[in-house]
Amino acid sequence: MNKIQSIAKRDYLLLKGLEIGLVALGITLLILSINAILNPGIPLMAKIIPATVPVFEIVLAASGATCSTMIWRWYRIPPQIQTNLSTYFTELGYSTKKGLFHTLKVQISDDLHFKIKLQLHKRTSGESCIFKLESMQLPLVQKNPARFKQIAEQFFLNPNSNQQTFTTTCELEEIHLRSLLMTQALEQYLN
Amino acid sequence: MSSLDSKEVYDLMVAFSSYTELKRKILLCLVHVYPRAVSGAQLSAMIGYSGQARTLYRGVLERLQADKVILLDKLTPKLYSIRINHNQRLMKLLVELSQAHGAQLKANYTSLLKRGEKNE
Repeated sequence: MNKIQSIAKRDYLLLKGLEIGLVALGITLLILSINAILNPGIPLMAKIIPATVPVFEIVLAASGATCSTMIWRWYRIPPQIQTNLSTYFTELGYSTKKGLFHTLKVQISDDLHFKIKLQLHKRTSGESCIFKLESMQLPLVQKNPARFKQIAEQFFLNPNSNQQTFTTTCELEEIHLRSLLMTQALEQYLN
Repeated sequence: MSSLDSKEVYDLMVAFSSYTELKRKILLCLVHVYPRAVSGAQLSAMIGYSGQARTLYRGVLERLQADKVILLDKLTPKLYSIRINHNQRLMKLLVELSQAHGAQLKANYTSLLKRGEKNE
């Protein structure tokens, strides 16, 4: 868990750093644009504009690189966690598919799946790696809400009637059994 | 106590075992002190954690509340009232089991609770 916490902390710091960098670049671009439009003739800027340094190109390239890195960081799951989850689900005979924003889709069968969303940078210390499990959208929940609620109670899941899903949040050490319970709840509901 | 349904006991056992040790400790404690509600500091003391460790405040209680197994009332920004959700079918069963067989453990928890109150 300590290893995961340190990964989560590193991810959090990197993301924050990138966000600050992006904001700083945005402000620089804004100042340059305003300066170009108004041409107030500030001596400092007047010296920069005629210079041969391609400021705009550098700034755009840097912001492009920052944005791409941020999107990549939002997309990827730390490899240790992904390997851990993929190995476990493969052993169970499930297939996994990576989604956007730290989401992993676990396919139990052709018509049965649930999603695992990682909340990596919720905290920089302590339980920083939290998994949110959300089932597929279930049909006919409104027709028999009592059964939907009963199955949720049986597996300690949260029934979300509006979204027609079961949800639960857990830690890494719980995820194996919680995933199995989610599968059982889905199978029980659909049978 | 109503007659035990072995299916319900099995469901309870499976669902209960899917939780971490800390969550199991919290539920077991709350079940034994039911119908009483306790504060975060009292709960920490009863399950053997330091009140200053803030272990319970790192989202554990919120996650148990989301699973609808406990009821969490925020009385003030720093004071929570925590109790078991006796409307939850399996928690109700656990409460019944503890009331039927858990007198000794209940006495232990109550004495820990009283000791904590004296120290406050």
